[in-house]
Amino acid sequence: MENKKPPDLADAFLEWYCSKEFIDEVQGDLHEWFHHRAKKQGYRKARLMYFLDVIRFLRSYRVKSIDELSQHSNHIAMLRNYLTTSWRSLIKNKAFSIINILGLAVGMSSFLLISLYVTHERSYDQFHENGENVYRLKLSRYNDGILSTEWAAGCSAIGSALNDNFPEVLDYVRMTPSNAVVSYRDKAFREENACYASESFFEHFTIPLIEGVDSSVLVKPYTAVISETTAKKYFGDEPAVGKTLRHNGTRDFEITGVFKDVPTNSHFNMDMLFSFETFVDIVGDDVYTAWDWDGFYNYIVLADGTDPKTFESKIPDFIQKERGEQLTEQNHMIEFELQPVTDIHLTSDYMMEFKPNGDGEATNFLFIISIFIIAIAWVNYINLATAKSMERSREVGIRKVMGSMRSQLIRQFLVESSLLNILALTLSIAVVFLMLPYFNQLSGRELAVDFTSLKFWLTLGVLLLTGAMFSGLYPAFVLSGFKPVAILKGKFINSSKGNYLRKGLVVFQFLASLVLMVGTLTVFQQLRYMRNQDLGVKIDQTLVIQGPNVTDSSYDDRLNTFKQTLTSFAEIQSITASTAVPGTQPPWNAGGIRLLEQGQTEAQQYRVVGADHDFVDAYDLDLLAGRKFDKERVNDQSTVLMNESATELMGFESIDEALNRDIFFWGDTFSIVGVLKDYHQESLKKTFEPLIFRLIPNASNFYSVSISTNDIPYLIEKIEDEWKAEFPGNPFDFFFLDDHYDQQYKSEIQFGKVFGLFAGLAIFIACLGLFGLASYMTDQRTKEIGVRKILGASLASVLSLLSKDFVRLILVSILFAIPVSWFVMDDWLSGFANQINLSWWIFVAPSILILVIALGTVAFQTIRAGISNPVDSLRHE
Amino acid sequence: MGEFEELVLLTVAVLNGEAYGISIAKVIEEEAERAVTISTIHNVLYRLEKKGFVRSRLGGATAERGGRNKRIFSITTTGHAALTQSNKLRNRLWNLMPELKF
Repeated sequence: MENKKPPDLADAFLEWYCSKEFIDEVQGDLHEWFHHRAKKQGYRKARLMYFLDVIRFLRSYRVKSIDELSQHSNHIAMLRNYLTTSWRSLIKNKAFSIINILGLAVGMSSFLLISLYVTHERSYDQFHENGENVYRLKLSRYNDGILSTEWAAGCSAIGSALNDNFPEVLDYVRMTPSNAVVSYRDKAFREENACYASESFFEHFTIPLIEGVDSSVLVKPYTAVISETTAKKYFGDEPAVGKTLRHNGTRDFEITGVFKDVPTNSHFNMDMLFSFETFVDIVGDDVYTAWDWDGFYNYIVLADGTDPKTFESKIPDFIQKERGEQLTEQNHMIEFELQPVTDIHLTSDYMMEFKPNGDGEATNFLFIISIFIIAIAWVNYINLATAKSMERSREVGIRKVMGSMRSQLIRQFLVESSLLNILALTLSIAVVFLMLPYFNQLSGRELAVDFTSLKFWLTLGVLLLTGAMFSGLYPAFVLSGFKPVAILKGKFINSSKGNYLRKGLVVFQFLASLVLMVGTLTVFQQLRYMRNQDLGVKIDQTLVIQGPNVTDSSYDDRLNTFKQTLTSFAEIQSITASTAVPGTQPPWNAGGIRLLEQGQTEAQQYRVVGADHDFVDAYDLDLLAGRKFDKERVNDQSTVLMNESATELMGFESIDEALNRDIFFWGDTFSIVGVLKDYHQESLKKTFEPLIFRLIPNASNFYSVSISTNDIPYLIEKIEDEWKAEFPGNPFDFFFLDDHYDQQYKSEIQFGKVFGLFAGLAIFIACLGLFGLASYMTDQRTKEIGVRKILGASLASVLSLLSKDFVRLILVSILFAIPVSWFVMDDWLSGFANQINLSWWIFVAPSILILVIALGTVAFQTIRAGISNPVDSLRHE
Repeated sequence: MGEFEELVLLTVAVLNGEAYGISIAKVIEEEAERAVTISTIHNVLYRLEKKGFVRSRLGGATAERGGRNKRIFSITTTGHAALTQSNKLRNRLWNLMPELKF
């Protein structure tokens, strides 16, 4: 229906600004004109023009005067007065205001940055439209009742089996990675983020297809869907659909669709998807029902309203029914857990994740830190405001005598704290903008401020409101509670209650700062410890080349030529081919391995490394017993090496016992010929894992080249030339092993840096507060100091007199901080297999540092008071 | 007195006790065939009132006006004199105009 009235909004505006003197004629005329115009031009136009007219009437003589504006409500007049007095008090105490605003701004910026980060971390996979019903099946395998592996990508059969047997499972998606060299004409790239995926992938995950149809792109074998960026990479601006990509130089895939790049806030990391039917065509359809074949991501889609916990509890019975017999036979147990797809990023860290996931605990921890920091800033305000209450007391007294009510005084001081908070918030928004690029570098995320998002403004609003309330309320109550008679008589006693509170807050500030400092120190100590340990394996001066994917029957010869040429270079000591290199978990995880004479129930899981003859020497591994792989022996391919942990898992009492024993490995028999000392295949966060080394002379995953040269770029160029000659069609990709190994500590390094940054900020804010407090205190005691000096007090005694109180407070916070930080950091360290001891100095050093910083802050004020001429201070007043 | 001021003052005189913002606007719109904005007319009326050419009183609220009063303007003797004078001036000048042929 058409609205036949002038717009309310415009009327309200008119009534708000227009003075009483004019409102009758103006509004009356405007209404009449509105109807007149509506008859001629219609209501729509008339309503629009009405707005314009209202604005046209905005002339200074028609606008209400401030007095008239406040005539209707005393509040506005009072607000004006509050603002004036607040502003005056801000200007009057410039140092205090700057301390407060600076502290608050730093606190708010930290809080805003961290909440941006936390919001981002929590936003992962929220974009899937049916996300709340999609779950990934995590697989845990137990041998002998002991947990052996936890897979993000479990066995192949489970998804479809659940789909077939439970009506509440509507559909499933099965995926398995396929890292390959993919080529189009002369362009070849190593695709690290490629997967085989079953046909309904695009129906359940909201990754929009730019070309192709959701339900049909991945149906046929040898079809592929690629991301927008990947399409650009291979085909430039030409259409991708219909073109053919070659996979590892052998298989051709037809492109049936192009999908929008997967957002960064997704646990998926994929540039290319091949149809799962292709995989079946390659390996045979046993894969559909393989229960012992791991490495498959299984996603299931539950019907609306299905309780995941209830459903999860039905799985063990189903497994028992389906697989019970075989599992008991092997003394094996499998367990499935439903991971909501939206929770994967923050909770999942198992074998074969798409990409390193976030750490939910660290994220929450960071959030708590940010609240601490802003709380410290608020505390500054409370402290300074109450400390200065004496100066304001006269104002309060006069106001009360003039008839001010307590509620009005409270309002006055709340306005003052709001004003300060608004100034700080404005400053902090600017700071966030400036700091965001650095923070992104630190956090390894791409965060941005979204000004259009309601949530952002809401956060700001909440921050402002809580800040103004939290920091303003207590001083407001204290100040407004003064008895006017007492104040005006000049009797003013600083209440002991307020004193305790103030001291308690200072203790809290320094406690929080100290805990953060101890935390930072512990994180970096632990990192240093881990990086300086003898790994038992040589990782420096080692260049690792990613092996070729595109090969043919001549591969063995080519590999040999390549190795021989490279070892002939003076700068190269050795080259070894292997299926795994230190710094990552060996991807080959084999179950069912046992001593030949043992029963099936005693079989265990081991990580397997396939390597050539040179592996042990090239990596400088210690041989504890037996021998290495021997080139002279022809049938050495049926021998294995083991590390100590593997011999233990196999049940040998001593390493010598293991020599020359036969083991059963996937249907074949291997003889143990040597035992290697445990070395850190992975970061020191983890314990030693049982490793079995098999002789695979033509392993094609990694070639590790041990080098010694000052001209690395030149050497790399030389190697690349050889590479191109031997393995044409394969991209030359390499990395340095020490960098690769260090990648494992990335999250710890990040954590340490973030920790350190915010610890620094917390100390800064706390010291600002201390500075303000100290300057106030010394001001208060100017006269006392003057008298003392006249009576013969030395500078030193004045200093100690003034610092005594602060030192006591810091000592108390140290006393509290030590157990708190010990408790927190001990818990953090327990996540590491190889951890440092929390030695005394980790607590003492930050304590001394904070004492020095605090004393320095105070000293600035006290020395000034101490060296002042007593005559000046006594003349004061 | 500006041209538009004169026009408004003339209209006030014509409307004889019925002159207020809207009625004036309507007359000018119809007779002079020019688009007017209410705010301009108001501004001119206040200016005229300040010069003492018109006087005003409140009254005559209607439902269409949302119950708001009109400010009704009527011409003063000074206003009338000013109009007459400007009219006389014009007539004089007209009479002085030679017979031009176009």
